[in-house]
Amino acid sequence: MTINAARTGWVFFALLCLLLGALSAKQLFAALVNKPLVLERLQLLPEPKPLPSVLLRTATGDAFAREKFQQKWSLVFFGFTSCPDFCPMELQKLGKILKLARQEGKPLQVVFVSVDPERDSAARLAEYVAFFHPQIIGLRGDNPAIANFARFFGAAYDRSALVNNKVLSIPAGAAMPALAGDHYQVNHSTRVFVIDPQGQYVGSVSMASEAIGDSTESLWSDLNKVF
Amino acid sequence: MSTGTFKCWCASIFGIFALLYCASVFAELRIENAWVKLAPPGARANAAYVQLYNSSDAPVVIQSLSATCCAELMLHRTRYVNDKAIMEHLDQLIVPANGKITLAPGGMHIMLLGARKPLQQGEQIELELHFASGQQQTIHLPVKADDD
Ligand SMILES: [Cu+2]
Repeated sequence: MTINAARTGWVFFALLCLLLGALSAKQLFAALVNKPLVLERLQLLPEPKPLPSVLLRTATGDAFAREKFQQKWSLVFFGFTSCPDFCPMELQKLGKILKLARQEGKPLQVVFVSVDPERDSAARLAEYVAFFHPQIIGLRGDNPAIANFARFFGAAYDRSALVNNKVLSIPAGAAMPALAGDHYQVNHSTRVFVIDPQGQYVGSVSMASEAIGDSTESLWSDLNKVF
Repeated sequence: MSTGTFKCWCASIFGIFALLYCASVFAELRIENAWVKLAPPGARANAAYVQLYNSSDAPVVIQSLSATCCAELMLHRTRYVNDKAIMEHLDQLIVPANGKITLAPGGMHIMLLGARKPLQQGEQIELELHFASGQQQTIHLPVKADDD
């Protein structure tokens, strides 16, 4: 009985040593080999995803193909210009980041893709993005092209209107019926997508935090670690 | 105690309670950090933000809002569902007893629609809060590009 108990004790002790040893070795290994990137907000993909072909245009009507995402970092955000609260808040932050990048000579472009082409005319989009920073690029296209580009990132959006007291939900890619009028809601992704200078989607950051105070700083410091 | 003195006492006690009651009904909200966000050119709406403090012992219910600058005012909240921002309509705002509520970018906001002329930076907007009690309170909000 006592011998058995002592033996169990020894076995337990040995196992514990083994476990602790393995754990610390693993930590040491991770610290030495991986040098893990500590990012506050930015979530990196396990593997970069090369961009598909892009069928969007700038507010001045120029084609903005995949090649425009080469040789610089890009931050991509989906929204609409009639958005009174969320989009202005986001674009203001992205404008600040663009300013910081310019000051430090980091090649960065900020791209705002309108998911509301019926209401966001080229002129309106141009005026809107320029308000936040003269270099923010506004992109638009037809509904299927926008939906394709958004789907690549997993950026969800939809639009809904009240027609005859019934909620009419228009999925991404579909045209807004004229009977919906000019007052409808757009629900859209809160993520900012990061594209590397090889034109690959590498990660994203959610801007949906209610505590917005330091998100510009923390995003900028994260971007600096991956740039 | 004569009937006259008694009546007098009753009247003054009633008076005191009536005064106290009125004081609580007329209790105004303390307003802090009120501002209207300057909208980009061509925008259809402006968002307004404010912190409302209620120092009374009863909740204050804001039933509606109005302003001479704009055709329509709405209470909204930006909500986040599965990484999507969704704008939700609020029927009323309740400022809890001895509490506060905060309307701030990315959360609850007052939406100003149909401005008679575009709101300019530096302008003061006068806005009326209509309480469920029937009372009203006027608040002033400067138009600013950023919250600072
Ligand atoms: Cu709103």
